[in-house]
Amino acid sequence: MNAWIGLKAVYDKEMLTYFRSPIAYFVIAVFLLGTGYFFTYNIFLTGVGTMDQTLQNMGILLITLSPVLTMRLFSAEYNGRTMELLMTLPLRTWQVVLGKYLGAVSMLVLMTAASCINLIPLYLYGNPQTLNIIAGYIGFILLGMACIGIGQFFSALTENQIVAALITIPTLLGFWFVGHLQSLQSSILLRDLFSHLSFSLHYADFIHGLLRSEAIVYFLVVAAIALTLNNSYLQWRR
Amino acid sequence: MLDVTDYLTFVARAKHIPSAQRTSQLERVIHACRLESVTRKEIYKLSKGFRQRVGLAQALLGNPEVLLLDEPTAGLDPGQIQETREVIREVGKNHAVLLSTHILPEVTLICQRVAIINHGRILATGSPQGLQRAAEETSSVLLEASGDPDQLKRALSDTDGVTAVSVRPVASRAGLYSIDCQVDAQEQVESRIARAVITCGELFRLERQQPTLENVFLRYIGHTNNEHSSGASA
Repeated sequence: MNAWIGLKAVYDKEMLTYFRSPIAYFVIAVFLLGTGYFFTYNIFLTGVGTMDQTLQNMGILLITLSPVLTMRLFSAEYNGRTMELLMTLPLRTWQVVLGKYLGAVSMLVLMTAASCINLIPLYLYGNPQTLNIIAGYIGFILLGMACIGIGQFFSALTENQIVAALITIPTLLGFWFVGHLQSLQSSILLRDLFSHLSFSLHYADFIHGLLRSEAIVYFLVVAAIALTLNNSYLQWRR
Repeated sequence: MLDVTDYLTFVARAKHIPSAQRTSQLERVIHACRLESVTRKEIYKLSKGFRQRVGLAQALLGNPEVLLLDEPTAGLDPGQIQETREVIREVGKNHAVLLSTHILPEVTLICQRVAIINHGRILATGSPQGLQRAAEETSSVLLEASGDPDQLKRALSDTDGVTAVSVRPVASRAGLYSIDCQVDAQEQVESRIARAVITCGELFRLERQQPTLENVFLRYIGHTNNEHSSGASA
């Protein structure tokens, strides 16, 4: 019970911080603008009433936008000299890490929910496959959870927000494109490794309407590893 | 960005203060640290003095028995220093406040007990007044006079209560000497010194040096340093 109170305090503080600064509004606005553009572009260009291509594009958009969401998580605390306070309060490191993480994930869910506005015309004028779309959105959230975990970890490593974002974006892009290296490899082992590491290949499963446990677990494990590293790093710093 | 109230609320929650007491506790610390005028301001916009007091306020949440303050007035302007000191003195009425500082007049102003620490060792403890009194045993009288230096020195050495005399010429004015007399702290020797000087020269200035806590501190530190060096030579 006590553990919950501390976690909730950190979480609420995070949410308040998001909405008291322009970052949240900026990220949501850019995201909605992007998804809206991709959606209309895909629908009108192809004339096919599915979310497949749009969800694919949303994935890349998320990869470039999520670092903006996560860059301040710890960097701003270092920079504002509030980290000492956070570390001396009767809070466990994991409560801080998880509270911040859940705050960022809530923003992600909010963004995703807002982007569902695209579905209205799709359902009005088309006949989309609901289960596919649901699976795609689940995949999108899971992808976001992995991205946020990685971004949060990098944010804990530097007190400069820009640096945090600049390390996160290439890392995430690497995870996204690593699947493309597959076709260049002759070794089966490497081909397998690259496909197992790829964000885009796992995400594609969801877009095609597949809820594969391997893909679900993959994203959750990436997030868990990042958060564990984050936690250990902060404990070591302490 | 969080304002002062949001921030203190977060700290109160992280310290597990039940929500029923939260409002009253917030009001109490905001009042104690005189933050009423800035409760709705973002912390990063506050001046350093206010920020320091926000830090004090968050430390006071949850009524800790002991407050540890490390150089609470460092880097503040004189007005802020005074206000912060008043806040600390106020807080000291209900909490044990442990304060570390290099500003020794501050200690004389707000502390009830002092410990002088050098290289991790406690050299002396006591009230600020007590420490000053202990140091008064060998206080000194400074004077400026003209006349024959040897005569001056002899006259002063013969005066009751004076234990040591050193005479140095004042560089800026020829014929003027600056004299440092070590005297017994308990005796009122100033008038006797003055009379002794007048017999052989003219007196321009006479001043009894009040031992400040600074002198006390230097004396203790000096003692240990000498011990260290003598220990090394032996």
